[in-house]
Amino acid sequence: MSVLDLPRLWRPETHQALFRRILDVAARPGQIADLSDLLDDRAAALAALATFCDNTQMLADLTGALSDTDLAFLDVRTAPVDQAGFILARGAEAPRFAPRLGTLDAPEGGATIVVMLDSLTDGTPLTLTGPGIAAQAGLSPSGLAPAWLDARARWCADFPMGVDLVLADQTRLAVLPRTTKIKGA
Amino acid sequence: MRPDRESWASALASADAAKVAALADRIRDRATVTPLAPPREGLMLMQARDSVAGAAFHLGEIPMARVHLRLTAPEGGAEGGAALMSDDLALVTRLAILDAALCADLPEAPEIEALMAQGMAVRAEVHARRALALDRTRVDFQLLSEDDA
Repeated sequence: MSVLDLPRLWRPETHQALFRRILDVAARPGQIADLSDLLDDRAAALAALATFCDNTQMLADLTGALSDTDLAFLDVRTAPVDQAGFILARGAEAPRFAPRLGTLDAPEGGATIVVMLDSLTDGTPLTLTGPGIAAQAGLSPSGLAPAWLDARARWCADFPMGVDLVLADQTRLAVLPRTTKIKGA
Repeated sequence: MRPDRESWASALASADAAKVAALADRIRDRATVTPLAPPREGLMLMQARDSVAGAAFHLGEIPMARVHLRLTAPEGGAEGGAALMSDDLALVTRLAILDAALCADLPEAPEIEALMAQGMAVRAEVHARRALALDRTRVDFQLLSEDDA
């Protein structure tokens, strides 16, 4: 028995499992990863940040959903939204910010935006095409303001620069890399 | 008398390790321990300052472990923490539990204070021994100008 039991979300073996599942759905846009067995009632968006962030990264929390303890466990520096490599935002609120898009030399500098939604399956159907999708795939996010898709199209217009979106409801998430084309908004 | 809080961890780290572990585990078993930050162990750069020019330099890497937690017992609770030049995360976790228990003045506080007194006595003895060894290396320089005077 260890002296101090960490909450499940913060254990290394949980992070390894989360990484594998997120990597799989990032490679196959439109597929949904169910994380419910790893979360212990915490949000999937927090699990995504726990997987992505460490003390070399900068995070902007636009939701106020992260507690001081969450930030301490993420061990991430906070930063203004235009400087952050990772952004946590609510899908119901239209984006009114300018994220990092990277540069032609360093497109990996584009931000990853974790968007908290009501559901990934009960909303307006979107048709996805692009790398990682055989013909086309679908996703029906609920609680995603239409302005998000307009903003994403603008941010990703100059590929390879752009942003990557992680859409998360309470227990599941899907990834929309900047390479994915979206129709049906 | 309790020393300053910043000395608690080092005093307890010098006390009887088995007694420290037994007391911390007894407190943990009857209380709720919630980590407030991920426990860390690893190497960190130790910065020192040279004694002539006062310039900062990196002396080298040292093992370091730190724990920050909240202890909640029926009598009360408090935040506790410990950071020590050590790679023994279990020891540092136990020191953080004792730190919180003493802060909260739990019934075990007198036992913690007794262990702390024992640890401080051990440290004082070690310091005295080192001071003696260091004293043997002391040299007196006589300057020519003093001979002329």
